[in-house]
Amino acid sequence: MITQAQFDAHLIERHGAVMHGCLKNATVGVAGIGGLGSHIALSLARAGLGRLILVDFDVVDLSNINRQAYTIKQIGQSKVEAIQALIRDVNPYMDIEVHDVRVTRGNACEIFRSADVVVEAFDNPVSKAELTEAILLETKKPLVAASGVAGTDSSNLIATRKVRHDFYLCGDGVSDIETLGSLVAPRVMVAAGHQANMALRIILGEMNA
Amino acid sequence: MKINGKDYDYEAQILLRLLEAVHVNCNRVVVEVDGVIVPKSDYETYLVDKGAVVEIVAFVGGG
Repeated sequence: MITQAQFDAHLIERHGAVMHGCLKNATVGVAGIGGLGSHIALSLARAGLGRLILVDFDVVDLSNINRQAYTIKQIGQSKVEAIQALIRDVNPYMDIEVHDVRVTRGNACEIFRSADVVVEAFDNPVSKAELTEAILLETKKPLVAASGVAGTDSSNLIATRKVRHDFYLCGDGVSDIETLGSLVAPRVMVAAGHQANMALRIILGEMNA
Repeated sequence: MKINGKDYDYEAQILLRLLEAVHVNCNRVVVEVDGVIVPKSDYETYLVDKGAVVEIVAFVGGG
């Protein structure tokens, strides 16, 4: 078993004490832990983030395995339970708060009250718009959302755009699951990587997209 | 009126009418007018000035 001291020492060696301290003291909230959110959560755990707030009401299904971080063995488990098991295997010491509920306009601000950054990782465009509006209107927190991750068009079209001082949008902006039909792990993970890296940059005070 | 960085020759009008004019689904958007996010509940009453700067973020599905 790797001890917490060994785990932290390795991250400090990799990132330096200042960056490690920033990440370790930060909290990121992730709304939806499917194709985008499961990869966002895992990559932030690997980077040494101190705390995650993860919210999803869904259970792992066979139809998720093509692009989400979950495994065949986890089918039937709640996503909040399954993601904790995956995170524990790469970062045993992270503080994880989970909510097995549907995020709504009414509960979003309370759930993410202690987050430094909120990441929107839903698949439904109406839910994306609702959460974005709620976070931007009712909190002062930066939001990193996603739009346009479906299909197999070039990865180079996926970008992070700073829409306003507290709102970043990742994706190509147009690739819609309703018209394209497919969602593949590589392209979803490109967008998830953009979102996770932007969240990490905000924590480190690097506010440009 | 400037919408998403482009100039349009629209008269002042209610935000909901403007969203219909530019063919966006108002349930899938977040709208900022002159730097302020407009709540969806105000779309039917919010008057957008002729010289307003409007930013419409339209979300597509998938994640």
